[in-house]
Amino acid sequence: MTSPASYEKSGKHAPKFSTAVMKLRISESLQPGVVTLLVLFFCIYAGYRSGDFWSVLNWQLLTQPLAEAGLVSLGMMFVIACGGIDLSVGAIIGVAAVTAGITAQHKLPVSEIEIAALAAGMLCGAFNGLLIGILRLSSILVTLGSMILFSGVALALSNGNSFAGFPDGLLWWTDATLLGIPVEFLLFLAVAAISAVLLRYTLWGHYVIAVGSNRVAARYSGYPVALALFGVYTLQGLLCGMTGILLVARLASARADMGQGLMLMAIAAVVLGGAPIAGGSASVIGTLVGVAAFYVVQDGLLLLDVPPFVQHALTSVLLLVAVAAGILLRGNREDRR
Amino acid sequence: MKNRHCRTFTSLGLALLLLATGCSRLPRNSKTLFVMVPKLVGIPYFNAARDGASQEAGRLGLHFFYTGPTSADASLQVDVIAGLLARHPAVLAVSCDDANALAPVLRRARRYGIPVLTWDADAQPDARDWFVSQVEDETLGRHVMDVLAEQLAGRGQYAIITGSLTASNLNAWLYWMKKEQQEKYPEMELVAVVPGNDDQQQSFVQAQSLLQAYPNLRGFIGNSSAAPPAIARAIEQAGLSGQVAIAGLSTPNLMRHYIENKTVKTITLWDPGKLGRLTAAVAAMMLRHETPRDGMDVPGVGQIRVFPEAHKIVMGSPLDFTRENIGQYWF
Repeated sequence: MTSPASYEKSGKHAPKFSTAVMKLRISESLQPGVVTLLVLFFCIYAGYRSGDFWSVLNWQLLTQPLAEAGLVSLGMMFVIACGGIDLSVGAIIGVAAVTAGITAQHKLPVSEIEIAALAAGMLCGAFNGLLIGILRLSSILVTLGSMILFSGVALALSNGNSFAGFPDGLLWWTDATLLGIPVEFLLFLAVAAISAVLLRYTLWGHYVIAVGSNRVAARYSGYPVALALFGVYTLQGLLCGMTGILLVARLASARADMGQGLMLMAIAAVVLGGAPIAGGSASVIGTLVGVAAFYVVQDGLLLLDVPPFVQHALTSVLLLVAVAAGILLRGNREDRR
Repeated sequence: MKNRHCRTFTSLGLALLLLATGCSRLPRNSKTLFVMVPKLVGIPYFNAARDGASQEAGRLGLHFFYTGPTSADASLQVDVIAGLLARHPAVLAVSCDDANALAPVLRRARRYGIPVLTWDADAQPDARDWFVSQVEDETLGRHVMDVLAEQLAGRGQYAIITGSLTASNLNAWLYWMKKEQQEKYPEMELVAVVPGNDDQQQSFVQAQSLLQAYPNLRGFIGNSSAAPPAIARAIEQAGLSGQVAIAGLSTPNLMRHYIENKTVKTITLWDPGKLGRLTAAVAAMMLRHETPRDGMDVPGVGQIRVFPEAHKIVMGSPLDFTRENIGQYWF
């Protein structure tokens, strides 16, 4: 999952270049491994204690919210890989959901509702990308501001009300299954596969990693930094639009505050998957593992009768243990960022 | 070296999980499992409902399980319920955060053959079997007006501070308050209905400006739980305690201070503990395939009213909190 550019930072330790490269590679493949192992242990344990954990129904129901959080996490993976952060994802989801609600009220066909929601998400993302990429503003400041702006827009458009009465064609997303697997989840897997290709086999993916490793060096190397960043945030907006549609379909209603909880979840999933928060590296597998870990563990704890507040505590213990493990396994102190 | 780390961490993680959840196998009690979901966990109102339901469920031989989202967010509540469906509970009872958003997951539960109750706050009618309601809109609205009129001896100006102007339950109560006044207390005069948006600070400012704008104002109704304590504070600060009466809907915990220092005589709500008890009793009826009957006497709750066409069960009369009884309630 690493491209040559991600070694640029390690390249500073000139004498130990090859060992540094080795360590980086090991740590990146190890962190998702540790998390997977932890989650597998947990699954065996949960399956032993609760007879319902391995039921088909449980996994069908579990993979739907997982797919929604997963889409946002994939977008967040690109954002973090290029050295940024996006705090506005929840608000963008809200804008997309409300757009779907308004278009549905005007009795537009399903395809137009979907296109409108995706376009709304993309527009919001492009707005972020414009400010961060072209005007070179700090991503945390821009998205903090746009988070408030977008949720304000969503609230104003919806007047704080919830929309209902969506056409059956849109609700198809939540009811349909293929070979017993919810289509929502299949969509997520497809997007994950596309993301892996984008990251690994396209010039753009290479630029994203280069910008995240060292933005100045990337600029001096003549890479189109602004365009790469613009693309990252627009893609994030598009994925938020998708998530918005799936959420609207699953809840058969739309509200401005719909995506609230997903922002922190997405950041945590990416970090849990082993990506350094400072950027310069990304792994689709890691992100998949990270987001799945959260939902599988939360669902398991629910089935094990664990009280809600303890569920939160235990889930965050998982995050801390995995991140600590990742850092310790990295060995080289200078890599512990 | 690396393997050692790996082992340490995996065993540490596993140990933590084992510690947290104990080690015995959970019984599969889905035939009697009664799951109750509040809008959110960890607030006194729903804790009181939980305690009532848990007592009654224990008495009736149901396995009681109470869980919900940690914040009032409809999509979180849907996720929790979706997770619970895998356990195939015998009865599911939900206080809906959003009538529309909760409907699909509840319909799904019904498709799996799980009887669904809503309690405290309803979903779309076709998404549930029965709605267990605390008190009828008409009874509550008329009662609050009676409480105020009694303190004003049936005459004088009064104002209403409500929550938001779009909340359908608040507007229904408001309608019956006004109607009761028009029918029974013609010498009273409503000067204003203003929104406090369920916010104590906003309600406080509204109450202050109303007191200034209408010097002859003799009474207030606070029509959302944030309004009465805010009105009481405004009256206290204006030095009008005892001269301006307050009635309305709020919880004992919010009003305790003002009731104990006599700024407020009576505040109205219902007993969430009783509502929980009734919900558990209805759940037990569902399991026995019984239909609730109008006028039935439910132990610990009293006579209930049943509307078979609307599939709605009403617990009964509102509850007044005064200096005498407020010590018994904590929510």
